[in-house]
Amino acid sequence: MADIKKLPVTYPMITSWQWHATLFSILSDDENAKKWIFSNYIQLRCYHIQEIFTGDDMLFADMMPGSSSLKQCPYLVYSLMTKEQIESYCGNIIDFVIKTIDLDGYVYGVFDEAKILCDAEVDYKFPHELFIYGYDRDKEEFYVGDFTFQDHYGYNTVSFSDLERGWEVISAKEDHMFKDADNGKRGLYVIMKNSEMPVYDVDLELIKQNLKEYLNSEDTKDHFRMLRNRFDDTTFGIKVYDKALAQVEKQLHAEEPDFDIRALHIMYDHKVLMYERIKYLMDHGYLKFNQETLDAYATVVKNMLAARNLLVRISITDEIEAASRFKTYFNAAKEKEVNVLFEILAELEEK
Amino acid sequence: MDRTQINTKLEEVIGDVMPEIEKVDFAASITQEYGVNSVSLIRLILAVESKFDVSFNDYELALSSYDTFGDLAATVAEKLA
Repeated sequence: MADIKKLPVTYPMITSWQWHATLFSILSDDENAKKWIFSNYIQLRCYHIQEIFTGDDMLFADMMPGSSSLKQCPYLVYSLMTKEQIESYCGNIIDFVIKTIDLDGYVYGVFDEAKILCDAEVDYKFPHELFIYGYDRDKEEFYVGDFTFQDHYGYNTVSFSDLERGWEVISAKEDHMFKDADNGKRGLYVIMKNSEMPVYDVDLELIKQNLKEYLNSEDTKDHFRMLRNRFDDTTFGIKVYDKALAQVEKQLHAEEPDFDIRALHIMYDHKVLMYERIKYLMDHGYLKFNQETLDAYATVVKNMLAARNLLVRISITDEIEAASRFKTYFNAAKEKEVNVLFEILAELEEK
Repeated sequence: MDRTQINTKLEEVIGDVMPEIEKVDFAASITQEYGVNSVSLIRLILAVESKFDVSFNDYELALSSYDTFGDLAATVAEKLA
């Protein structure tokens, strides 16, 4: 066993949710994987849920595929390991993670990050997914990717002992990655990159279908009934703008405005990825190179970023009157995006 | 106000908003060296607006506009010119 081992990671193209940051950390730079990435992540969806920690109403938005992307991506080999298996095979979590990394497996699972972050004992828990990609035996540290440590996605270290503490206290009920699909078990996911053999081509038919469904806000859940048939009241596609705006307005008019900007983060990442997709399709001859189209979509990205950042500013300063500018940026992004994507769809339809 | 004065004043604001930063290197990457993120940058810009009596438009709140604190100082200098 090595003293230090770090599996390769690249700072991810998108970071909104831990599952996306994890997949893109492993695959962002991989040319084979880009064919799958750019054929997917087109449809947006949102629905209201109870926030996992506060119980408050939250508009949960995500691209498709969402958290299941780690299972569904053809360039990742993905295994579930229950806590019982981990303890039976290796005795403890630290040896299991080290041995997994030695075999080129990344580890992904729910840990109590309150135990990891706080030196003192705290009476609350913060169960959150952690992505582990390396270790240093001399320093007794793991290399991890996460949002919690720096308030944005970044790569950090966590001591062996803190990781063990964060692992021990999580119950099956608190392991939100396992609890819905795996019948009250808890455990970890082992993820291996497997992208040397090209098994997926750029799928123009899928891109066209996804663009149509996105632009027409079509309900796409029926495509996935084989995998899942318990659905929330979901909004799809371009109408996600309307839902997000309604949620912001609700927050603006609350007695004590408290903004949850996570839906805007994912919408911004969706635009960043769409811009990269358009550029990729042009660079590889699937679309004619057109700088005007790229520039037009760049303004979508810019306006979505301005809308998100303005909302951050309002949340700090309580300048509620600035909300009219938020709507202007948001609606400008929507209008321009619809125009550009209809043009792109028309060009793809000719192929 | 010349650039040295701007840098000195900006260093004070950075110290107030981001006390964890002990010494400001105006050429270092603000994300990699100092862990500045989109929210902490906006907090810093709000303090800069107040300290220098300038205003930043909504597009100027983007983290990607500033690789270094030197870039932020340059934007302040443009606004004061």
